[in-house]
Amino acid sequence: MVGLRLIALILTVAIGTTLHAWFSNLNEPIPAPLGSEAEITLKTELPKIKVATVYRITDVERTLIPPKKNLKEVKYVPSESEAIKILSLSDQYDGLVLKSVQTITTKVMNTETGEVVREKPEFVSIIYGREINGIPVIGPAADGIVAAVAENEIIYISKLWREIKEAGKKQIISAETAFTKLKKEELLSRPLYTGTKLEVREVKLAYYAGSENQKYYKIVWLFKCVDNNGNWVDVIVDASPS
Amino acid sequence: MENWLQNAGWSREFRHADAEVKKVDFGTQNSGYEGLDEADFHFHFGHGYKFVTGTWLALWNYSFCFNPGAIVSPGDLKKKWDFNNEWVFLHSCNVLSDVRAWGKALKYTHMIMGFSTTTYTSTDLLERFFKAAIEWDWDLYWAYYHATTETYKGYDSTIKAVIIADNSNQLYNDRLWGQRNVEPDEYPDDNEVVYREWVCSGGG
Repeated sequence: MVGLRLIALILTVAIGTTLHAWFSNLNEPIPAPLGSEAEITLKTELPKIKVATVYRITDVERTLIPPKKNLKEVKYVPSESEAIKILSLSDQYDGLVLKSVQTITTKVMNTETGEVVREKPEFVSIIYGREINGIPVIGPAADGIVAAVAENEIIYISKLWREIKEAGKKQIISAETAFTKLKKEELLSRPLYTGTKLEVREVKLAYYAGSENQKYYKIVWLFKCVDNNGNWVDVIVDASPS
Repeated sequence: MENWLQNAGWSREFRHADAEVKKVDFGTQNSGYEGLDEADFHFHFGHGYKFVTGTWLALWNYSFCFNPGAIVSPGDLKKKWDFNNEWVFLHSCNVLSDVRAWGKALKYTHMIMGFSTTTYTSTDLLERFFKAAIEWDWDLYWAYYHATTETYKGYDSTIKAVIIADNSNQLYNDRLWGQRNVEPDEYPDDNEVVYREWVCSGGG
């Protein structure tokens, strides 16, 4: 209703998950993201890496161009390959990796029949990520560029890109030890999914960016898993020796 | 989150956590206590499931094997959001993969924001959403696109965000109360919803 500004929050959890990070002053229990009923199996070879290169962050480029138009005004959407050309980024950033390009449409659905009765393309969404010597940079503050392209122009762009310098080598825990941590739910990344089965299909090293202000990337083991519905689930374990 | 809203003049209707959360909090009733339907904006954080039989949100004491009834399914909500609510934010996995079922809840509520795939806990998601929606005064769909892509672009597997609106005017023009424009409720209600889905992670 107009004039009222009321908010409700419900923090529900199936098996002990809470907003631990947000309300840490409440001393709530550590989340159990994989679920006490989950069965975790290994379906891949574990890498034998024991040492990894450390990178120090020396500068951060942060650029945001806010949305230039309301999408209802969009009359023409270029092809995905044209949109990438309009963005034209590939030579400017070392380690830039195209991760997703997708034409976003708005659909009108009749909820009684389930039929999509109208569909309108509105922009091309492009996401670039970063790899450092073939190792991906991941996490909630990972380097990357997100752009929306419509009518032959960039209508939104957000860039986060770090200048880095090699800072030596570091011993890391083995993938076997990391897998033991995963089973104990000692994780950096907490999926909200609670499945009954989780298969580990791939294990690789990654650099983790948890905040925009960190001085070094954290070195982590990334377990790429598939749940019993066929969804991919990233599970991340800190590779630093405790 | 609460700081953002309180500083913008909002007040809290209720905050329930864990075992305090009941099915009725989700607005399953059309009289008496109507839960989220008594608040303009509702945020939910918790597990979401997709199974061959449908999608659902899990309550605190849900167990796939031992207490499968402790859920909120879209069937519990059909045409129930018809009182005071405008926007529902479901930070839960999978549930908005069923647009048809969850869209039926939107009688007069304007919009549901959520995910159709696995998603991940994040302190950044709401921070980025409210910064864009309140401090920068963006349309809600742009604020949600920005928050989801910023927060999840660094994930390797596919994460898809979904926004479902009761009509196109609400999808294109709604901002939060106090941020210039909120479209009228859809009256009379029809059986159509407008939705948009995007990949917000590295997976294609």
